Amino acid sequence: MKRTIPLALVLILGIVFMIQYFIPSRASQQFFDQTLQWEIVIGIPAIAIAVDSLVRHHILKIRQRKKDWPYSLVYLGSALGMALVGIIGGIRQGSLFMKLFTYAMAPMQATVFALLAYYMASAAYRSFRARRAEATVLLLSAFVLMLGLIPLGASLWKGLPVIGEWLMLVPNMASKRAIMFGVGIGMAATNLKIMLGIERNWLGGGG
Amino acid sequence: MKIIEKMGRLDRRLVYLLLTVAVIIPLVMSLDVRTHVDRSTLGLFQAIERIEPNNKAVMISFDYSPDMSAELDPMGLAVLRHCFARNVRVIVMSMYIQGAALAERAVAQAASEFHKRPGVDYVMMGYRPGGAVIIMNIGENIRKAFPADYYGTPFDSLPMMKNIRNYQDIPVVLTLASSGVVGTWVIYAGTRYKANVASGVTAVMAPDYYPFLQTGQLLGQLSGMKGAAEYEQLLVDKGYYDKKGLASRSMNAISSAHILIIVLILIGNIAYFAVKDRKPKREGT
Repeated sequence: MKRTIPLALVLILGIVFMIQYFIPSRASQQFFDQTLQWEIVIGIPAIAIAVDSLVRHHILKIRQRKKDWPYSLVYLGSALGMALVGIIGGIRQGSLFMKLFTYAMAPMQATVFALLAYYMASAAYRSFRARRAEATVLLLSAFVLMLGLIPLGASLWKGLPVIGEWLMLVPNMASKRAIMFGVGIGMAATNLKIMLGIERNWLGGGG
Repeated sequence: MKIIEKMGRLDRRLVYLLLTVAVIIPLVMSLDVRTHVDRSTLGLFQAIERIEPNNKAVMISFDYSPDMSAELDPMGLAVLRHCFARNVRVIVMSMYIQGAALAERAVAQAASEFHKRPGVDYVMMGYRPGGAVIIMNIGENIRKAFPADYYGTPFDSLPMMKNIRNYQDIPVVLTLASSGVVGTWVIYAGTRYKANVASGVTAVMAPDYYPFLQTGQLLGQLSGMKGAAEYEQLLVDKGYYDKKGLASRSMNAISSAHILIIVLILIGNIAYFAVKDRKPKREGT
């Protein structure tokens, strides 16, 4: 029963909403509108479940003294601290919550992401070699794009940004479109498999 | 020859140091360099130019978290300045929980520069969970997606929202995104509800959305820091703002970093070929 009801719901609602899309009547629209409201209502408790799951995971890690458990303490302390500060002092501009967000959390996240630039520079220097003809084409395209993207490129030669734009609009777009078609067909196939009950991983416990 | 070999094996700490210097020096020095404006940036700029002042509203969704704020914050600020300079109303929202705080910061800064009032010239709707559902809700009736603004003011008490019902009253929907949420906006807001969607994305994500630009499903796109710098350039050129912003200054740092990386790749390749030519050739390698 635990599996049959969700599977039946997915099949019935999947077919209903496929048909609904092509029926422009008022009743059909109202039905769709109503289900959108339900989805929001269902979505909000999902956040609470996610927080609960995350907190339980870290508490368990601390209890069992698993590897790097002190980081879990930092996480729980920070999460609880931010929540309390937000609930007590509010989240408007100028509040302690916003100060913590602006001057601590945001710079920390940005810093971690910025570290990628160092790895990218080092990796490009070590591994970007013109070993074969294809690699040479890739290398030259990268040079044109990198120079075309910066103001200096246009100062060196006005054609660089134009060629860079062409590379993005023609070869890049052709390959991206091919990938997107593949992904699209894959998504449609997966959706059909879910609706027909062939793909059941979403029910939990493997398909 | 030894020097060339050594050039191919630079210590990674030296590479890091060189990159740090290449980024910091241009940020300290103030260089005013003109940026080449792409058609995709122009597409968004012109779409906002066509909006009648004090009438319909532009929607800007800050769909990113602080790790991407260096690239995406300047875009949001530039577009907000453009709207406020032209007296175009703005609806600000976020599909990311952290994006709401970033949006509020940007809109507060731009609004104070142009003396704009909340609820009248702009509305801060904040974060709404639901993703595609919220996008479709706005298409049906924006009031249902946002019964109140970020500060709890009921929808009906927001004078600006009086004549705004759905995407038909929103001539441009801009998503500033660091994820595949652009696709969600295109599919649901653009295809289903015929909204005019534009995007502002990080430089690494930009190539993914060129197919949508070509088909017209995106009316414009700001690509990374360069896109923001181009927008700032257009604002100055048109006289909407007196000086270029952070993105234009950062472009100098990006320029020198790009040049350094090109030089490093060239050095690496010279060393690679020099060493390769000296090694005896073996069969099958």
